[in-house]
Amino acid sequence: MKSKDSVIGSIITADKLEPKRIEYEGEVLLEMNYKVADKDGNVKVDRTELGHSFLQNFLICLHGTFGRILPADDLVDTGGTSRTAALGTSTSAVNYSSTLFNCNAPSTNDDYGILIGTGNTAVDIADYALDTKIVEGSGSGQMNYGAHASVSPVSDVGNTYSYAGISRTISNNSGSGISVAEVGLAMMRFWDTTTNRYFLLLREVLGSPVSVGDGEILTVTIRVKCFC
Amino acid sequence: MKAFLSIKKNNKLIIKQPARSFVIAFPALLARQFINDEDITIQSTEGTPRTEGISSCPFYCCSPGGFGYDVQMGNNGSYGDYQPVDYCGVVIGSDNTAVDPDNYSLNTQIRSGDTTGKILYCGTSVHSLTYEDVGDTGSFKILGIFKNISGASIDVKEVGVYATGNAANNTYINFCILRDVISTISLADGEYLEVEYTISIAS
Repeated sequence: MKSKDSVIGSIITADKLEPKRIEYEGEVLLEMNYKVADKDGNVKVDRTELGHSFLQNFLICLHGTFGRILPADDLVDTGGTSRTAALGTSTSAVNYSSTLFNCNAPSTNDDYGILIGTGNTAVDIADYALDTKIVEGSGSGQMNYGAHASVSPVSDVGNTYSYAGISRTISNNSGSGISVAEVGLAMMRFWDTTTNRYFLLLREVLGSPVSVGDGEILTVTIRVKCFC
Repeated sequence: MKAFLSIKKNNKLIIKQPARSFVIAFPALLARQFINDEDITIQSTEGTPRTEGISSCPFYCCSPGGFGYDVQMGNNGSYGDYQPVDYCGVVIGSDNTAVDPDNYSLNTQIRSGDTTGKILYCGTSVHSLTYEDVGDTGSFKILGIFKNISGASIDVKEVGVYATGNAANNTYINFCILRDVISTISLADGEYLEVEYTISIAS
């Protein structure tokens, strides 16, 4: 994981005949922004990191939607159970007539959408859950998950990248500080039954944990950023 | 995540390079899926801003190839709403203007056909997922095949991928998700071109 500073200003032009060259050229990375504000809106932390941790579940879904085919491999839900894709009714399996990457969880829902945790085990593409998820609530070690918002598509004036994404606010009303060390993005999907299943698509371990004090609000923004 | 581009001419590998250019429709379509927010505007390959729901399989990029229309794109196999075969999948063009992240199409697409300035699109296929323990990597390939039967040589200078989304009213909308400028390939009459993108993730 590298800081945003390592990207800015890295355009190098060998001479007028050479095409532009930028760091991360061709890569699709996850630009993660963590902002902590107090109850009066004063920003205490505003940190951006570049991550890359798309997981196997994401690749399987992407492959399926590129080919409109049944995924060859099972997805593993956030409970660790393999779920086989199968054709079925409109409420089951790989029915692409509904949103595949649905991460728009409502307030208080900690099953999917942007999720946070306290674990810092290194990311493996086979990860299916956060190390130690912070659950919804106002008890000790818990936080209140808010609604999501979209990050509209943007490209830079230097013609080097584009991005779009999703964000979520999460409030600490637990009575004491909580250290956030990992972030994930999970989708909700009917997969092999008519029951909602949840699948982790992305997971990032923060460069260093973000401390969220009692009464403070953490906003996590995930930008899917394409460098070209 | 990244992509790798390899191109064969008459079954001989002539270009092997990292693909540089996921363009803006890719993250925009993903964001649309994440939050199902129809306020996100995405330009189609015609340059038209689209705001309607694009809910079904937004990155679909298989195409059967040929001269005519892809009837399989119809609603559940119907013949009501098909599109030309070169609207979807791996596409090629003749303009080498540098890639801009805002690109919504190739600069000058070479269309499918057998007349001057055209090339026969022989179809795009998506291949199986593969995994490697080394580097903990997963990937899949998208392959487009083309044949020049126009009677004259054609220069290919750009390649890309058009993906098709299904709008709520069962019409198909095409988006350019990848565009790359390549060294000029001169394809004589009767010659084949294979353009392969490999999309991969690694932990």
